Amino acid sequence: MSSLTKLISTLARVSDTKLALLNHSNVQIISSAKMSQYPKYFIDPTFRNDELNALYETGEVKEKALVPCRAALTEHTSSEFYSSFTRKFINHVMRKGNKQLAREVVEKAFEVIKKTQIQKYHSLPPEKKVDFTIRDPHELFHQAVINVKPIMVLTPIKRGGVRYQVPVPVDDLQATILAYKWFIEASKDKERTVRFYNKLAKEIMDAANNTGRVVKKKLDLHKQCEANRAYAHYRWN
Amino acid sequence: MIGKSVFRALNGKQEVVKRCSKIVIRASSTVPQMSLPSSSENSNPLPFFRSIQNSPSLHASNNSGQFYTIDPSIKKQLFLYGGIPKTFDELCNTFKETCMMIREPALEIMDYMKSTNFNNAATRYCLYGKIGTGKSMTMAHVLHYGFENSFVIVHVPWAPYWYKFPKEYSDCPTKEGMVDLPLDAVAWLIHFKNQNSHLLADPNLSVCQDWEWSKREITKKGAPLAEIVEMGINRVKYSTNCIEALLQELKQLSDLKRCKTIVVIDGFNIFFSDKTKIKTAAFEKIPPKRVTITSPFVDITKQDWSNGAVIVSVDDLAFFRKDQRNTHYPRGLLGPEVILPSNQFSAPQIPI
Repeated sequence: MSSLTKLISTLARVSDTKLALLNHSNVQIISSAKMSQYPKYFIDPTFRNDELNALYETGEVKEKALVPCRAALTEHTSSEFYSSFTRKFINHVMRKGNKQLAREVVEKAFEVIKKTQIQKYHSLPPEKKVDFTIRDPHELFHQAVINVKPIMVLTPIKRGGVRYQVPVPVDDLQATILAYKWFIEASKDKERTVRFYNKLAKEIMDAANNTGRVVKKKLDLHKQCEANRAYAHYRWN
Repeated sequence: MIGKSVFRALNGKQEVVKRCSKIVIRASSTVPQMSLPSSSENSNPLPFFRSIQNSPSLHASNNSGQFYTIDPSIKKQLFLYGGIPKTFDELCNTFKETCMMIREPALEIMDYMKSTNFNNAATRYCLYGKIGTGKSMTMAHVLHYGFENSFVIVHVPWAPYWYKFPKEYSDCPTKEGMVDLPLDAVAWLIHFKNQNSHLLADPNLSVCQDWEWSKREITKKGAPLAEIVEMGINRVKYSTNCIEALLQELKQLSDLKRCKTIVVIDGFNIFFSDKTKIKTAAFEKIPPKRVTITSPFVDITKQDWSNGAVIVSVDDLAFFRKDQRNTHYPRGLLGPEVILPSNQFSAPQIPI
């Protein structure tokens, strides 16, 4: 992997601080959506109880109350089952605006993951049960996405009339979106009688273990990037 | 039907499934963190919600509300081809145990069965109730009781499957206007054989009359009952005839006190509906009464035999979606023609 890291270091021209910001998944980056109905100075709503309590404790509430705020979406709940990471994935799974179905499907997949783990636990002999931990499916999914995110992608760049596949670094957000897309594609590629949520559950569990077809896709992509390293300079002409 | 305690229990288990984070929270004697110190390991008492009795014959009203575990080998024998609701079965596989709650309706039926005079005509019990109140689970419990007490089991796990998702249908060669379900009949015979494998070896269960399947194939009087079952499984063409013969034989054998029979049918009201998905060769859709497999099972629920029990459930879900009657009462689901005293099928039934 050392050659890969060398490649990345030559390609990466992103500043350290921005990288740090992008990788920190807890930070609520102010939406800079280009076609938002809100002006840019509108802030995102705070809807989680712990964040709200923190605001009250520090006294920031008084300042924030004076700033205009965007409306909270239906998916912004203060429920115990809320996961900011998973809700983005649910949005990607959604087709034709059918959010209810997308949510049902993803939640069912998580239920299947949980059930499989519990089944594994109950099949173990008593001595081994102490060591086995049943992980939260949201956590497993987070781990799976981290394992599947590519660091580099191939982009077509035209030089001298020829299109070359040039390896290019990809930022964290784009990498996450690619990971989501690959998960959904892998789960759709199935027999007619197999349910989407069952396949998705299997893919997530495999990816969390760093095995399975989605991780393989990422590794294949990295291999191709390695193979095309000769064209890397085409990025800057 | 009394309360939704089964549902609540299931919801409780589902809550465990959803809310568990890293630590496994489960009140059971198998979890190491919760067990007593090793010195008193032998006297580890079961939690209050589990019953000590795992045998339905010993269940009484003081066990009501407790869970009892079904042995995996018994579950395989009784329920391999159906009988336990699917969502519940999934949970059983997850937690590696089949635990049913002992509830009043099942206790009521078993109580009646313990005190009936089997010289009288076979009593009919009709389970009714809203969707999700535990009719199928009660039937599974009573089936286990019947199995323990050496009843010959005639079990139809969900009758509407024959009419909604028939495996194969063909015009009946012998009876005009009727349609056969050969593969479904074979599947049922395999199910019957699996459930009653321990009883079919009994020499008492021998055929009371000659049965002629064709010019060359005859099952003679005195042959073991298992022969009819084998005949039906091997010769798909005669499978429905074998079912008819088998059920008639069981009625006669029960009358002669050579065996006792328990008939358990889930979704019984479909037999009296108007629609099925089955068509004749001329693409004409037919009602269940024109399907050959219906009549033996309706026949066995009549009151012309003794030394047995018939437990039947009526469910709105048994009908096709469009025909559903939005009622859970037997009169509404079976229709007044069935309940009227003039009809030979009808009452007296004990509604539970």
